[in-house]
Amino acid sequence: MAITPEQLFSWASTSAMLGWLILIFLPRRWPALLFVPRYLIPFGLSLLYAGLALAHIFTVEGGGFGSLDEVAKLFTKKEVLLAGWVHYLAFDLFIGGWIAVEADKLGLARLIQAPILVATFMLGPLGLALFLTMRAGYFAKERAAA
Amino acid sequence: MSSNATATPSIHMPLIPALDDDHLTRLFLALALFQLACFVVFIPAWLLDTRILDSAAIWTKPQKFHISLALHFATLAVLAQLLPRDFRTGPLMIIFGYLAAISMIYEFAYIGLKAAQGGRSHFNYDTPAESTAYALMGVGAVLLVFVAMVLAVQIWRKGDRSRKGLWLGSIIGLSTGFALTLLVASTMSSTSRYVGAPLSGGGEVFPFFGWSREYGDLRPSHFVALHLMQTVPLAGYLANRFRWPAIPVVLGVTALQIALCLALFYQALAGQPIWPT
Repeated sequence: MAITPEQLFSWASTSAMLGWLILIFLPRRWPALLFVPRYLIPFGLSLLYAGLALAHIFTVEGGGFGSLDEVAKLFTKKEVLLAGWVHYLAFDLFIGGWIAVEADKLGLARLIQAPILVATFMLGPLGLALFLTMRAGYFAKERAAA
Repeated sequence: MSSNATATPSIHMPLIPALDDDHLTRLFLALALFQLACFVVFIPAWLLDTRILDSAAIWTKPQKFHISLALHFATLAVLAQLLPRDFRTGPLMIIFGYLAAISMIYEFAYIGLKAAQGGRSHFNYDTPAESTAYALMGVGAVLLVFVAMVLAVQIWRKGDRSRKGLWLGSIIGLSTGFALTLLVASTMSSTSRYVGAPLSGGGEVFPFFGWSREYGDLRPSHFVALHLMQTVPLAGYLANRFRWPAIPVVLGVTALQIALCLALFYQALAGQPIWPT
């Protein structure tokens, strides 16, 4: 294989970063622009993950999902480690896209969306937990009749 | 028309339905909810992380800030309702509201980051970067409370006077809270939280609050100063509600709390602990 894991890591990280920059800084009013971080980049990363996982996860001696030691063994192989990383990148960005859309529905200022999205970018589930907790403070109300 | 109710679109309202759904109220409430969410989400770290800094669990400090800032912004959201909508969403409140929001996000991020690293966010001059970050926190802290002062002035000028106690309590609570907080906090930032003791402190402390029981500690007076912004408007509100004489109640609570704040302030400066061991 001509492409090294380092090269793939770099491409994956760059595209994920691009997605987060669009999500955090650019306007949301153009569906085509929002499509890029919400679907295009996560889908591309997911395809890369699928390739890496199918090619490498099941070939690691002593690796598996039954114990922490088995999982640690899995990640000793560089390609599997990369697959795991790409998994983070793909899912975190997809969740970030969902948060952004839901936050827009709540009328949450972009300034407050920013730390939630950055938290999701850096620490995945922490950002999701923040947003879910925050959203629990809202409830649906019927719009007053005109 | 009302028979077709199922077709009515629904919107999401923040926590307190009695509040108006304008830009500034939404901003303040979202900031309060954000800090409340931070408090909830940081509980597991608080329980799991065994690190201690200056005789307190490492996450206790961020958690205190989360509660305090949630209370601060919820107060601003509620008291902003005294303004007519035009003034509430005018440029002055929006600008200072956003400056406070930016400051809050910065304080939240830096205090959390430093806790995660096991270091101090305040009084940390170890590197040039940390000195700068601390100086910026000072600016942020001023902007966080300055919005309360701006709100006090706006309520004084344009606020709803039909409930005299709430009106007066809001003006006095927000403005004296702002002034006293600035006084105590600026003294604290130019000396230290402790008087006559090393920054690392140690020894016996107040449960949860972490105030020293061995040295002079400026934080109790800081606490009392900050929360004038809640207690005095609340006193005014209760006075209206139960038909107590509003002006004496508001002025009385204010005078008592200022006296308490100053007593704690001078006690700390004299090197005396608030609750000696």
